[in-house]
Amino acid sequence: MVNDGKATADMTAQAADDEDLPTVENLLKMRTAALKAIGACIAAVEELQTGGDDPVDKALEKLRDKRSEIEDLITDAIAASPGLAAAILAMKKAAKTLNDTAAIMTGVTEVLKKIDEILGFGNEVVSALKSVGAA
Amino acid sequence: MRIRCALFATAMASVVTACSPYDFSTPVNSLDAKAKALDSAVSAGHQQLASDVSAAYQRSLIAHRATVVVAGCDKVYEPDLKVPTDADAKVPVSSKPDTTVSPLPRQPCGVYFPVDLKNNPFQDPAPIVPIFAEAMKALTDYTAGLAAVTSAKDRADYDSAVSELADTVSGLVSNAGGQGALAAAAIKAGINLLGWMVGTALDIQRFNALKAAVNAMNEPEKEGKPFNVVVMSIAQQVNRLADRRRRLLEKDITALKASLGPQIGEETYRLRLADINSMAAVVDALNQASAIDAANGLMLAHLQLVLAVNSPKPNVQTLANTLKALGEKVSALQTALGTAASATSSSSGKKGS
Repeated sequence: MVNDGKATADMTAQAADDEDLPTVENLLKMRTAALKAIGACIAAVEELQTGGDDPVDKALEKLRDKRSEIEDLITDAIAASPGLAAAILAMKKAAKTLNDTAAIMTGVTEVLKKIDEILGFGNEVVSALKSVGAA
Repeated sequence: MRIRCALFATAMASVVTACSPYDFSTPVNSLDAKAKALDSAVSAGHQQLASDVSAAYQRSLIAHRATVVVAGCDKVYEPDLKVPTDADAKVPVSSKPDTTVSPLPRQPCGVYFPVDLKNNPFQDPAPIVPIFAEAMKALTDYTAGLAAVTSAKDRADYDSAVSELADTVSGLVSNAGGQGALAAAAIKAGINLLGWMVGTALDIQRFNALKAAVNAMNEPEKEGKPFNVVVMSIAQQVNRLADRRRRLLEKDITALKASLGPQIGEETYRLRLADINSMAAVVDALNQASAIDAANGLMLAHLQLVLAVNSPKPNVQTLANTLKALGEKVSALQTALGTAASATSSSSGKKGS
C-alpha cells in the first residue's frame, strides 16, 4: 500500500475513521521503545568483540537489520495513517488562506502605485501646460 | 458621524496596538527558515545516501580487483524545449513548488561490474514516499504563508504608496490653481487618513488570518494536532534516511575492520584505518543529530506561537529563544545528513588483500 510509491494525502484521507489505527505520535513512541531495546542488545553484543573478522559481527549485523526493519515499518505505518493525510489537507488549506490574505495588501499597494503613476503623469502634463501658458 | 468615525479610529488603533501581525514577523520568519531547513535536510540526506552507495560501490570494486566496464556516459540530459507562453510568464516565481525533494537517482557515467549493469542495480536506496514529499511541501508552504501574512515590509510598502499618492494628488490639486492650493493640504491629510484606516483594517484582517491559521493547526484531532502530525511524519522520513546511511556505512566499516591486521602492509593499513575513522565520524554525527529533537523544537515553537497570538500580551521572546535553540538542532541535523563519508580510493574491504 505504501511503498508502491503512490500513497497520497487524497487517497489516505478517504480511509479516515475507517479503522482504529495508532496515531503518528504513538507509532513514534513505539519506535523509540523498540530502538532503545535493540540499542541495549547491540551494546551488550559489542562488549563480546575480539577484533578482526569477528564472529560477533554477524549478530551485530542481525540486530542492525532489525533496527532498519523497525524504521521501515514505522515509516510505512505513518505514510498510511489517515491522520497524516487529514493533517496535510488542513495545512494546505491554512497555507492558502494565509497567502490569499497576505496578497490583498500587496495587491492594494500595487493598485495605489498604478494610480500614483497615472496621476503623476497628469501632474506632469498640467505643469507642462502651465509653463506653456506662462510663456 | 464625526463621533462615530473617531470611535472607529480609536477602536482600530487599540486593536492594532494589541494584536499587530507584524509583532510576530521575526519569530515567524525564523520558524519558516527552520521548516525549510528540515525540508532540505531530507533532500541532503537523500542525495548523500546516493553518494554513499556510489562510494561503497567503488570500495567494492577495489576490494575485488574487478574487471570493469564503463557505462552511462552517453546519457546526455536533454530537456524538452519549452517556449514560454504569456500565461507561463504570469505565474509568479513564489507560487512554484518550494520543496527541495531530490530528483530520482540515475546511473552516473562511471565504472561498473559488468554483471551489475545487467542486473540494473541503480535503484533509489530510500525513495521518498509521495505523501512525505506532500507533507514537506505543505509544511514549507504553511510557514511561508505565516511569514507572508506577518511581513512588515508589506505594510511599509503600502504606507509608502499611500504617502506618495497623497503627495501626487495634493500636487495635482495645487497645480490646478485658484482654491486648489488651499484644498491640497486637506486632501493630502484626507488620503493619508483614509490610507491609514484601510491599512489598519488590512492589518486586522491579516492578524485574524494568522490567528485562525495557527489555531486550526493546533486544533486537537483524533490523530493529533495537524501541525504536530505533519512535523512528526517528516521527522520519521529523516529517521529512515539517517538509518539507511548509517546501515550502509556500518556494513563497510565492518568489512574494512575485518581486513585490518598484520597481513597487510603499513600503508594499506593506514589508508583503511583512515577510511574507517572517516565513516565512523559520519555515523557518530548521524547518531547524535536527532530528527525527533528537531521535531520537538518545531512543535514547541509552533505552540508558543499559538499562545502568543492568542495572548493580549504576547511573549515573543520565549518563542525567539526556542527558535534559536531549534536552529542549532536543525543545522546539526542538516550537517549530519549532508556530510559525505570521504574515503580514500585506495582503500579495500577484501580480507587479506
